[in-house]
Amino acid sequence: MNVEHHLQAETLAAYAAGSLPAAMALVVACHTEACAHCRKELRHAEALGGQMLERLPVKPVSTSAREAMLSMLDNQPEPATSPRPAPAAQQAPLNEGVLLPRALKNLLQIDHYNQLKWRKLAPGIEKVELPLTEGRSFMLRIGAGLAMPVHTHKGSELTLIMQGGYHDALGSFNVGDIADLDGSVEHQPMAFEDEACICLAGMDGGLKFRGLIPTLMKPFIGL
Amino acid sequence: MTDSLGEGIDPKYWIDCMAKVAEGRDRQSFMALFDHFSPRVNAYLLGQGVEAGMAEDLTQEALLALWNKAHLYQPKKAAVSTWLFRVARNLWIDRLRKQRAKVYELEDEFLEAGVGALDPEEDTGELDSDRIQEALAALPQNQAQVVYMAYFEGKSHSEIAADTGMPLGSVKSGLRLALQSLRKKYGEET
Repeated sequence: MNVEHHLQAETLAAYAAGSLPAAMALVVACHTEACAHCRKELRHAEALGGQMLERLPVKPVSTSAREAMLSMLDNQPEPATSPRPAPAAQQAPLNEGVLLPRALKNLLQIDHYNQLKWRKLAPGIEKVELPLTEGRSFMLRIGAGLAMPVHTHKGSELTLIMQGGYHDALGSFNVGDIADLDGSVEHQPMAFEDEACICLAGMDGGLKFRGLIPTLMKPFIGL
Repeated sequence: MTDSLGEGIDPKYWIDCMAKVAEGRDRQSFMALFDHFSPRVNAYLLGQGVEAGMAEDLTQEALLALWNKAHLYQPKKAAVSTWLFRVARNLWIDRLRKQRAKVYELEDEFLEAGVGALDPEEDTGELDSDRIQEALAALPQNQAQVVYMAYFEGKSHSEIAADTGMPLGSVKSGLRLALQSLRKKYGEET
């Protein structure tokens, strides 16, 4: 897969830090599963976490915890000597296989795209609302050649192309590409002419941000 | 060896301790790791707002994972501190951020590192620690603050903006600049 649009470094840092809301973390997990570039960046962001750990002002655990730890060591099973399990078989590229990315499979407890329950929003546009309340996340299927309404992002939004693609003022987005956008962007994605576009979107709206992220991109969501 | 600031200890020392735990179930090496890292893992969890009793339990759990799985640790993939950071973060997510636990890749760190072994591109190098430490020390204070709040107070970008009064865009660019200067230290082009 030839990914051209990647995650922003600060988004990967938030994911590495564990501070990305679930709805956006889902999109990051689905993208990094297929994008070696972002996986590598993620390792760096985690290495930064390791270094931060080294630099934290220490808060020792209690003496009793230390003793408890020592006595626990005696009760641990011998480590398994079996060889490392073979890595999972290579995933089919998202656009060819019907298999969903791992994180979506885990979340929905289904394996394949054809098990998704699409709900019609408008002619040629369907949606699957995903069961996350920390932020907001859904999948959209946009018919070939159709345009989304113009919208501005009020909070941060991640969109991963899972099938087909679209173009907008920012360029062309193909399978595997991610649009990592914030409130400064106004755009009108239009699905490619030859194929329906399936994308996964996650946004941080809906969280308590003390009024900083006031309203969601209502025109988009309220479809 | 004095260790109160956690600096001046060669990360290779910890890699060596891991090897001794892996090969000989060496308790002395394990306790050296425990004494160095448990106050840091504990501090990390407390910083995330974990209640003290639970922070201590999770700290124990993280270190126990190290005892049981040291034989799967691959020094080329990550510093010991990075590995423990991931373990502690995943424990925190798993117990206290149920929604995120459903979507984060929380599978076993060591096994995941094994998958990466097929991909030399993902070798971040065992010497990462020194260079990152240098880069961190050189960060301007506002960038360092953003990095700190993102990693150790578990704050989202928007929350950092609210707390510091910085515009959201500045929080993000601060984090981006911080990561860029770190990457330069890796000697990588982007």
